[in-house]
Amino acid sequence: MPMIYLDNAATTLQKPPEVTAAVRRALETCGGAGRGGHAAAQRAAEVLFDCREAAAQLFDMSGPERVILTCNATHALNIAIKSLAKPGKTVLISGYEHNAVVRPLRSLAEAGVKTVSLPTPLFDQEAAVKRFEEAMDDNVCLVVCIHVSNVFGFVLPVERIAELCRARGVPMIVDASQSAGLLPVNGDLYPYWCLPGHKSLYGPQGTGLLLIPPGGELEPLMEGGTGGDSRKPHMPEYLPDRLEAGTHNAPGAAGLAAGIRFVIKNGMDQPSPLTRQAVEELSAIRGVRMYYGSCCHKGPVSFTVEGKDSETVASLLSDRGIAVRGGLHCAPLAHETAGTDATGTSRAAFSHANTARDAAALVRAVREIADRALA
Amino acid sequence: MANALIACRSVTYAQRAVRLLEKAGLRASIRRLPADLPETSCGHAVRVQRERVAQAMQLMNEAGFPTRTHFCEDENGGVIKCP
Repeated sequence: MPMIYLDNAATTLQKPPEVTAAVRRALETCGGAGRGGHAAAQRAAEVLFDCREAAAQLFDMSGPERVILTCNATHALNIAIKSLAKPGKTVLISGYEHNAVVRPLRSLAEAGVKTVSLPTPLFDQEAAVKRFEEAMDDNVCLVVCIHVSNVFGFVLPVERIAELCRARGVPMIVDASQSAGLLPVNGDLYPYWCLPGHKSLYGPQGTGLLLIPPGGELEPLMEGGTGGDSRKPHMPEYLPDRLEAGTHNAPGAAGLAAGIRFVIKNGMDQPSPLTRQAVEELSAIRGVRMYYGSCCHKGPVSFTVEGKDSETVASLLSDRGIAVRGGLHCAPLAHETAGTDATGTSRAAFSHANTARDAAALVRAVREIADRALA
Repeated sequence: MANALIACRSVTYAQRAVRLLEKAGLRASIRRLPADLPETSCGHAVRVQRERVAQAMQLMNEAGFPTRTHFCEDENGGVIKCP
């Protein structure tokens, strides 16, 4: 039985063929970028630069050196959070943050960083803006906000929150894990953007990006070789070297560049028609509760089936050849905010590789599970 | 062909510079600088024809790419102070 893969909010599985080809080519041709003057080292450096240029093009950035290559979005978030959160000060976060934000901040609590989460109703952008505005006082040193909830697909109004931050001179970090490749992201705007390569940018796992705004300054999370300025005992002051110690993942960067160019060529947000189809048809099933708001939704679709735990639903779908994710999605805060922390939700997300038949198969299988649960 | 080497602060800036110079019609490539050069240890440089170095540096500075200094390549590929 062929698998219908709908866990694309975690990682896209079916990559465009050009991604696979680029990874393979890099594995076969790349040495250590910046570590030598020979052709293999130069080839690796070209691969990294190409990835930065592709990202700068997709994310409207004027300087590719402000595209930092990371291992994933969590890595990017850790660099930014641990640079900008200050002891004795307050960090404001939305009520929909992932553990990639919550846990680094928790680790800073012992150093005197206070984190305040701002729960607001699902799919209510006005409430989110208002809550941030009210909470912004002189002790706030940083705001961190997810762009699209990885659980519910709720699009938070990060541009408006960024305006609040800019007016007060407070740095802002946006977790664009779900939005990159689905919604416009402007890396030259005020916030620091943290994003993975392996979701809707179709790159390999182990790739991510940190987009630094013009004039932005962060501290290295790791120190080490950069391939230049070797006599200096400290990390260079300039980007991207300052934040990129150690040998790069050149095959990953090659694949990510190919994935980004695929998105540029084919357009963002190809999966939306399937998402709409799934939402519409799942909503009509008796015993299924959808978490959806037409005002501001993108990407993952969350639902629960009456009388069934979300992991059980995911397991029953898996038995039918459909891959979705149940549970808390590494975002217990988001579930607390939405009131779904007791059971979690089942989550489906589409990619460019899915079809209307996949969406229909999901609906059929969920209907069968819901009917049995109610029988 | 006598070449000049414009020291750049990183391989990324050198790559940006090569793109810029090639767009302006100059031939440019990247090479590593010797480890014993002060201020540029294990650095990267943009290699251009010697008679084009002033034009290249001007283009780079106008585009906001920080340049450090420049050197010349001798006939054996060594790096020397420009005469």
